Amino acid sequence: MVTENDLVTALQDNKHKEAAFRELVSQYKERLYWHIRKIVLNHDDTDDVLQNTFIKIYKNIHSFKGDSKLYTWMYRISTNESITFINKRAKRKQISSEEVQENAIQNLTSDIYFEGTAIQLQLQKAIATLPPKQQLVFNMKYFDEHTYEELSEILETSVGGLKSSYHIAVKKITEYLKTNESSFTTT
Amino acid sequence: MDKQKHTSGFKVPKDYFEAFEENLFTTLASEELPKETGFAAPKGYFDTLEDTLLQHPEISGKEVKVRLLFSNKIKYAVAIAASIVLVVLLFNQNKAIPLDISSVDYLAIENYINAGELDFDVYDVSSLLSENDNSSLNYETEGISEENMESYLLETVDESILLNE
Repeated sequence: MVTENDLVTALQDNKHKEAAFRELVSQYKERLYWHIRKIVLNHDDTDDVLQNTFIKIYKNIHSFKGDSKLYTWMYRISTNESITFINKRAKRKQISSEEVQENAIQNLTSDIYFEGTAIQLQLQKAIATLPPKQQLVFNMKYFDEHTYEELSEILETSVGGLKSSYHIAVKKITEYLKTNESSFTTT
Repeated sequence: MDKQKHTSGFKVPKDYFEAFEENLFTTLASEELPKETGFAAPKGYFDTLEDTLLQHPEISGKEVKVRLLFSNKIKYAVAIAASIVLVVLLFNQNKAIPLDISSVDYLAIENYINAGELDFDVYDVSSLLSENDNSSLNYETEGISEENMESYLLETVDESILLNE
């Protein structure tokens, strides 16, 4: 596998840019896809955001100075793109971004690309009740198993703050699941 | 508590014990949650992503060819027709609407007069009428009985004047 530094050097060189970009997409497409998918929830929207993310990376790679790791930078771009996507949709539909998320959760039951069990669906509903930042922290820590240090770089938040956010998120989720336990069996 | 005589030299991170319960609770609680999200991607989606992206106009730099819904001929015909309609509309807009008494509702005229908006003298109006107009006027006297006519004349007309004339 090509190292991150070599990849960045090749991406910033017009002669090798296309091949390097192909390699970059190949290396990160799945990780970024699942990261975005957990935020926007629907496959088609995820595809749009993922493409926008890679286009932004391609167009701005010259401004990447290497102050942070490449994947941290890309995660940050994809997170911002996902949030922007939700906010734009909310503005267009003249509803709040929370309502956009609620609608997306409601649509999961009929989504052919959601193969989750009743408890997995319930977990997604519980995550959707969290404030946006806590959702991000929970998804990235719990499902993607990022370390707090990595999260701190991506989300530009202190490790202490992230730990606190994660604990609160888990607490809220377990409480939500307990109070909605009856609907587990029915859904 | 007495100071320990022997120390191990080990240290713990700051606030480790304060946060211990919370960390333990979080770990235990999260262990009960499902580890998978349940989301799936369409089959073969990731296989074509590199090609899809490299063909994107913002990356390939190729301009997107826009296919017109209408041919140029139809486009020009529609443009000319639209221009004519616009000119006619603009021309009609500036043209004064011709006033014709027949276009005015009679009831509106009646209401206008009854409201006292029209100040005219009966003599002025009659002077404008010719003899033929006078004869053609319909006085609508058919509905008045001879008896009523007689009593009206007796009350309003001075008989001495009639006799003198």
